[in-house]
Amino acid sequence: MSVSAGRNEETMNKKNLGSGERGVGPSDHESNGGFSRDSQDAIGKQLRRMYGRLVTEPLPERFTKLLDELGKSEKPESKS
Amino acid sequence: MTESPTDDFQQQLTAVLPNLRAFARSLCNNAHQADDHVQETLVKAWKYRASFQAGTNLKAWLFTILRNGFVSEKRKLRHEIEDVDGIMAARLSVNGEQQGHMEMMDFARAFEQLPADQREALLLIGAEGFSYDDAALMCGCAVGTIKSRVNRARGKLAELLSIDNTVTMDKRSSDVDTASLG
Repeated sequence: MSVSAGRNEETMNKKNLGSGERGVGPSDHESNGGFSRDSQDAIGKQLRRMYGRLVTEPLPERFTKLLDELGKSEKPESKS
Repeated sequence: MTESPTDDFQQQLTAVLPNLRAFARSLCNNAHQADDHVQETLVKAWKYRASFQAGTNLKAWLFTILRNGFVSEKRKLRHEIEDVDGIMAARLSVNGEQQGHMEMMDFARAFEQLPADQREALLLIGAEGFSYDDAALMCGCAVGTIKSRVNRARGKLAELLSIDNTVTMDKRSSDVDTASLG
C-alpha cells in the first residue's frame, strides 16, 4: 500500500527504539526533512497561537451541565 | 468529610476540558461535531473511570478516547471521506499556478489542508507538548510514524505559508509527493 511513504519511518523507529531517550532532542530537529530551526519555530509559534485561542475559548454550558449531572448520577462504590 | 474520588475525578475532567475541546476543534472543522465528540468522550471517561489509573496522565487518556471516537466515526464514513480526500489531493496538485494565493493563506487555513493524521501528530507534539513516545501510544502507531507525520505536517505548512523557501525547496517537493501517496 504505502511502501514508499514508510521509507524513513522504519529506520527512524529502529533508531529511536535503540537509543531510548536520545531520539528526543536536537536530533529530531535535524531529521525533519531539511527545515531550518527558524521555520520550525515560526510554525510552532503560529500553531500554539491558534491552539491557545481554542483553549481559552469559553466552554459551552452543555459541558458544565454534563459534568454536574455525571457527578450527581452515581458515586462509584455507592451500591455496596 | 474529605473529597471523594468521584469529586476529584470530576475536577480533573473539568481541568482538562478546555484542552480536550481545543484538540477536538482542531481535528474537526465542524465545531458542533467536535463538541459532540467531546461530550461522548466525557461520558465514556466517566463510565470507565475505574479503569483510569490514578497518577497517570489523564489528559493523554482523554485524548486517546477522543481520537478513537474520531477514528471509529471515520471508519463508518470511510467512502465519503476517501472521496473528499481525493478531491482535496487533486485540488492541491493542480494548483501550482495558485501558489501566490497560498502565500496569503493564514495559518489556520493552511492547517486545515493537512491530512487528519498529520494534524493530530503536530497538535500532540507541537501544541500540547506530549513526548513522541506518548503520542505514539495515544495514536497506536510507531514513534517513527509520529515523527514522520510531524515532519510532513511542518513541511507542508512551510510550503503553504511560504516559510523558509530557499532552504526547503528540494526536500520539500519530494516530501509532499510522498505524503500524497501515503
